[in-house]
Amino acid sequence: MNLHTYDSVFMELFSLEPSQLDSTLLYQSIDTWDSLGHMELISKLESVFNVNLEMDDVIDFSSYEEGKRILMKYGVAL
Amino acid sequence: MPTFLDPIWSNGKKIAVIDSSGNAFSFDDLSRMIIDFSLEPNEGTAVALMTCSNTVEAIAGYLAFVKGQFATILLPTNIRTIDNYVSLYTPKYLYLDHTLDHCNYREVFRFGKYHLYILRSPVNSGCEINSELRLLLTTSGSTGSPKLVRISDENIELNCKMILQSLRINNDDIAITTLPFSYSYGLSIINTSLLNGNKIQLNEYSIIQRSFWDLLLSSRATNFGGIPFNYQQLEQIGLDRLKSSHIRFMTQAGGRLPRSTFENVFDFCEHNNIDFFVMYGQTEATARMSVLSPLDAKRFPSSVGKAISPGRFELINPEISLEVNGFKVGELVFTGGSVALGYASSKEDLRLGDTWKGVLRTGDLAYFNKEGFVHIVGRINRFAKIRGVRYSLEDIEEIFASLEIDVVALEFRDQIILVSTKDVASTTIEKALYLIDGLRLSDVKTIKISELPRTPAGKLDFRTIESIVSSASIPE
Repeated sequence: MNLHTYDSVFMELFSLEPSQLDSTLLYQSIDTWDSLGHMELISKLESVFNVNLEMDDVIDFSSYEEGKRILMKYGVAL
Repeated sequence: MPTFLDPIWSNGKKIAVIDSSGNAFSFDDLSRMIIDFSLEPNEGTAVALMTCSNTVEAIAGYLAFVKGQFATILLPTNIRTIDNYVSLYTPKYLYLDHTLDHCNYREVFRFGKYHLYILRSPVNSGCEINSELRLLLTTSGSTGSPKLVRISDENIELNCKMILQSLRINNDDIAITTLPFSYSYGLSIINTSLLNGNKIQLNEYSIIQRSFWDLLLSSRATNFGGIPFNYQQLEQIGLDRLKSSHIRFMTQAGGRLPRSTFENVFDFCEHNNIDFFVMYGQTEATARMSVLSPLDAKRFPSSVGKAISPGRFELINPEISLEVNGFKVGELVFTGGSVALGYASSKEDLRLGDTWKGVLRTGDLAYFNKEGFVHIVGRINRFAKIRGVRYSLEDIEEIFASLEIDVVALEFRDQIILVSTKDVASTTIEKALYLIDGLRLSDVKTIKISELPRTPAGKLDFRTIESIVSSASIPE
């Protein structure tokens, strides 16, 4: 359920297909995930999971996979 | 013909650039790299075009073209409208960070991610290029019209001297890159560092990435530049991160900082022994024209400072009978040797000499306070400035017109507002944005009104439209 939500945030925000959600999806690996897109991503994830990410985690959020690990720290099981 | 970069080669074994993996390259190393490009001699008839990333491959290409005396077009790496420039200016060489499938070009050299292509047929001669012309920069966020600013060796040399003196850059200062060098502000940071024999830490990460902060610390960088967007990000992730760095000064240009961000950054810098310089520039003046020192910023925080000597500002067009805070407003005009030669809209234009003759009408409305500090209050031309990049509102309207929807575009609170009598579908906006490099869906909002207000003469009444926009609650 949470994973589905996590995936749909990426797909909607960055106009991605499900097949693109894998370990090759990195910050700046696609045009839309730039620094502006990154902040949009963080604020979307914060609101759908009702969490508040530490800035250290925001700057460590370097990939689709890394994001999952970070959200787990906040008790979001993915 | 000497070029502005000639003096840098005497720096020899001094380190010029460090890449993001920590590899250091001296001026001699760069000089050797250039030889590998094996560029054909150029008799003042050739154009080169490259995309600009903050990598050693890109820097080497840039130096190779300048040294080879090409009139060099510098474009951003993610540009989608590159074909327009290629067909209009028929460059002899293309140096790109991606592959290109073009029947008129063949690949002759590869360097990291970069590919060097040469035009198959010889360039049609008869189109001489002005020998003073060295660089061609885009005027603004490209909206498909490949208009370029023509910049000479002398323009760059003078502008670098102005910047070096006004910021009192030392020989041991190290700049870390935060802006692409296809952008005049980013380019001026590279050029001033090279000409002063300083080290540059090449960086491609953004401020909100851990890797940027790792590089900032490991390189012991002493300075960087940023547009308002960068400083807003810096504020967001916490200025305190700078405390453990070696940053000695920071510059800000490319638009006005929101007041609260300015105050936060300024206070932080004041307490942490960092000089924060607000600057104001335009590509048409090669780069930066004015500077506000931290000392003056304390007294006049909303000013962009004074013209960097020997440049100077004046106001024209007193018929704009506007006063702000009791000061007369006029169009800001800059005079100085860094004012570019003029625009180019075609290959023939590259033959032109110095069209502007050192005088630039900035299109900005401004006043001088009693002490002579410049305050910018608005713009004459219809431009929007989004994240430091200028977009012509007329070009945007034309793009929508080509998609068969009439809109009036204007800028409001860092967004582009499209006013129309029809519903503007988001798919239409997406199509339009595909033609405008750098703009995003979230930068654009629409407002529907029953009728576009017009003046008695039948022209669009922009003032009324603006007041409609500022009073409308804009949908998120």
